[in-house]
Amino acid sequence: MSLQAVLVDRLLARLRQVRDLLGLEHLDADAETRFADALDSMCFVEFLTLVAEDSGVSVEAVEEAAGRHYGSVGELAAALDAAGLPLDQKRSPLSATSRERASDARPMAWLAATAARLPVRRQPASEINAALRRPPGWLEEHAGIEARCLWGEEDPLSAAASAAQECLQEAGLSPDALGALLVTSEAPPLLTGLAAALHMRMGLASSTAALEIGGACTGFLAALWTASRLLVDTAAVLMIAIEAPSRWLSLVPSAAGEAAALFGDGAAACLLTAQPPSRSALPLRDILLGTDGSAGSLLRSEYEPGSGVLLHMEGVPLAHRAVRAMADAVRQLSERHGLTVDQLDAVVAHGGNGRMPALLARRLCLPIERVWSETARFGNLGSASVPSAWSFGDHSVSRTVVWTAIGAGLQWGAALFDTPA
Amino acid sequence: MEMVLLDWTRMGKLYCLAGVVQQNGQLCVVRPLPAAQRAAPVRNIGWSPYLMDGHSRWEIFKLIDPQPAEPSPPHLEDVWVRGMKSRRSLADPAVRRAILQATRTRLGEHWFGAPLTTTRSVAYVSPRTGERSLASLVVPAGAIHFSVSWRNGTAEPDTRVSLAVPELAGRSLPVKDHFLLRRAELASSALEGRIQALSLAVAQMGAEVVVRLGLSRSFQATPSRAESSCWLMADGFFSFNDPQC
Repeated sequence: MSLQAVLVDRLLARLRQVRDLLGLEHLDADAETRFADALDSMCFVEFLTLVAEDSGVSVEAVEEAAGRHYGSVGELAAALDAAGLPLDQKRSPLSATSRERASDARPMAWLAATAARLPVRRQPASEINAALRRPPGWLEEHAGIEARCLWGEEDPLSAAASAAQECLQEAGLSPDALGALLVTSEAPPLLTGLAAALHMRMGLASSTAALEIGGACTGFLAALWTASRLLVDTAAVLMIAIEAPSRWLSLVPSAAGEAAALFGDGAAACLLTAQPPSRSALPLRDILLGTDGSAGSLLRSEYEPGSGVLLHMEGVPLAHRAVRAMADAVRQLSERHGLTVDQLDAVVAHGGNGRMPALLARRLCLPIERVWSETARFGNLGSASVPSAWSFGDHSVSRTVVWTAIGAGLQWGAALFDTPA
Repeated sequence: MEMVLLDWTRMGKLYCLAGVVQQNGQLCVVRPLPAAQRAAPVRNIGWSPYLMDGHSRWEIFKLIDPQPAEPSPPHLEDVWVRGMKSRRSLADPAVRRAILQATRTRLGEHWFGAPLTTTRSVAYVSPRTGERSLASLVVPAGAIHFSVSWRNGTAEPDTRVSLAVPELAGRSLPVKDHFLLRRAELASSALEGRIQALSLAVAQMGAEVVVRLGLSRSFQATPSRAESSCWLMADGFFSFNDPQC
């Protein structure tokens, strides 16, 4: 079967689907069928939206491919073929079989680019074990962490700004296109003025808002949630997650020091846009956030004169709670969109420790390779862990993806993307 | 009863009209329908271009022998009239602004008194629900994006607008505003040119644009199609601060 014949079949399938969706009777359509005879104006725009989603492009891109004139189904197939727009109907997880399901299908936003930066200085587990006066292999066995990275003399703000610049370059956007910069951090390198400092490093216009978003390790999902809503008024929002726990927490032989050992330094940036700037942009379908302040005592930080910031963590109950909350969030979000968990190509997870991703995989009944995390290699990167794991992952194998995280508070969340092939 | 003509939309070759009257000191929206066609099974009844061409939005008309129509939600503004007679004058700008303000959607309320249902790309209200079929939405000019395409064989191209407002999330509405469409048609015969003309017209309206939203009438069910929904459409575009035409 030729590619064009395949395209015709797929277009006809969508045409029938739309007619069914909008209450029209069955039509024996073929390549010669004219759209003017098969779909009224309302049905036709629905059809175009489905075709655009199948192709992983905007409706505008389909319009341009067709020259804004639509004759027969066969003619549209030829135009799509000539424009190099294949139709992959598996791409949209939301088959439009009901009006209710179709209502959720339009992307909230597009993830245009992601980049991560880790410090050069790598601190292996052996060094951490020695500082904590623990035997060799202790951190690897108890926390599943092989190493972490430390900013040391490096400037975390420069690294974060560099990641952000990379996002803009990848998306082909100038800083002037940004409506807002959202910065999140659990262990900020600056106690105050962090967003403004990054705003300056990026050379953004003074009219571009710079906001700091809380949420600890869930901060990135909170920023994503906020950004998706800001896109009603602006074309693009840049998000930066920047973590410098090594500036605050000390590796001293104590429970607090052992909690500190889990955390690594790092930064990541993501660019969210209202329209896809390229075919590689990921459609963001949905985000859910949850909060349960009554469990806040499981992970808390305090300042103690003479000792600095101390981290108090009730490890076992916290880990159980974290895995359960993330698994529930992944399931809930998937079900909301008519997906089962095994239809997810990847779950990009925050790892409080290096064992958590495997526990999450087990709870979700997914093979471990489908739960992405970099905690084992670099430690708990706080709010930067999820975008970093995505940035380091192999995107060619992923199509439908959920990002999930949990953080102090407790707060948790999940975001659903379905990606172009 | 005097009506200030506000919405002037295309329905095939006919015009669908709506305006505002003063009743008990309040501004009320009415949809005048020609009483001669009272027996029509569906009130998708329009006004002939022969009667209307040469008149203008904001023109004041006397409604002749107005009779409220049987309620048909969400189209509760219907009024049967024997005819409309122009007063040969236009509402002054202060009245225009007051009308746009009075018909604005209120924060937290359903625009039409019933929830909008959405598909991937369009929005509608179910027939026999809702409390009104017209509403004014104030939108930043930058949040308005037009598209024009042509299904070969149809009488005219499909002109659509997406409004970047949370309730619609970029969904696409058919543009029915006669004057805006006319301006685009005069500007260019090419579809790209019409998009540019539409965008320019809206840009010239200033930072805030009032988009008059309307609901189409539901067609009756037939053996070949279910009862249609009341589709959300863009009936008119006005400058909020300077509603000249």
